[in-house]
Amino acid sequence: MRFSEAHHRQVVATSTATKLGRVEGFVVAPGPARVIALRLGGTPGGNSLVSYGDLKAFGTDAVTVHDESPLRPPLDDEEKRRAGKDHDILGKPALLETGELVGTVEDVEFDPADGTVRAVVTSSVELPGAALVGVGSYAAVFTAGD
Amino acid sequence: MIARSSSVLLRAGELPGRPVVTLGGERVAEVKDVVFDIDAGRVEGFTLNNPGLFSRSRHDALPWPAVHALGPDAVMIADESAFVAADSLAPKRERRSGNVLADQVLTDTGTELGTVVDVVLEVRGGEAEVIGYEIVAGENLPNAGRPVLIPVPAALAVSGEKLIVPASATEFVSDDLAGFGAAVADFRAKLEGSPTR
Repeated sequence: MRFSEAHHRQVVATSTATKLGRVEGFVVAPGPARVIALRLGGTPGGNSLVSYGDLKAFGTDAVTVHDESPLRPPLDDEEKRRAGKDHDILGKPALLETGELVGTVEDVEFDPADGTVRAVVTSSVELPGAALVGVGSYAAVFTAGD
Repeated sequence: MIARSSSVLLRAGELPGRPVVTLGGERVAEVKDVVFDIDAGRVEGFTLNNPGLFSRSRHDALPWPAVHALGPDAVMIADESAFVAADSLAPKRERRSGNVLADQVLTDTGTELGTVVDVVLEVRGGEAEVIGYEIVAGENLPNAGRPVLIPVPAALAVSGEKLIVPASATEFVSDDLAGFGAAVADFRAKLEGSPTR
């Protein structure tokens, strides 16, 4: 599944059959590369983060949770920084650890079962998820590999 | 620094303004100036500006051993612990890339070759070595008034504002970086007395 497909997908609480919001952003962490949380929009009460592990499922038509209890604010300043819109991996320059720019991140292929990032699609090349070293406000950094 | 077998040639003048980026993807500074150890013929490190249009000097600096990689688009560091106080970057004799512009190049036989406008670096195997100068050729060279590249030996002699090169360097003057690496290798081989390619 790709971030581009899943963007704006509705998030539904199965216990009440209500829509809680929609997917606005994906919080990606390296080591190993994976989606650790979703940033939601349109949520009641303003709590906008859900840890990936708290999801019931990431389906093709909806993301499901049991109820709205997993919705939360950032745990600390660190998470607030990492989960902010300016850290979104989409649109970031893709920089190799050699200091060479290879393109712009255009999409991410991930496994909806657990959030594992399989590949990062840039404007020039596709990089394996395992190559991701860091995602910051300036760039997504990758190992150069062979 | 990550190991690279290939070598990269660049002009030191390209480096001011280059982003300094952590492996975590944050741009924490920009290169302000390149600090050379002229006697050792290598880069000692970089002074820094804060990133952005109205960037200001920082009071810290990036020593060469803390550089993870020097690439065409960024100087990479592991994280901000790479930085040191700017005055701790103090090699025995230093030339900043700004000052180098005033130096004249003189051969050891007393011929003035021209005025330095830039320094050519080779980055290979974790070292950033000064391998040549870009000079505006003086009257004693064929391309008078034009910029040319001149190789320098590994051990550089500096006397006041003048950089001294062996007279044989004039045989290996290049127009551009593309062939310059080979010219430097041939020049140094000749200095050592081994046969050139």
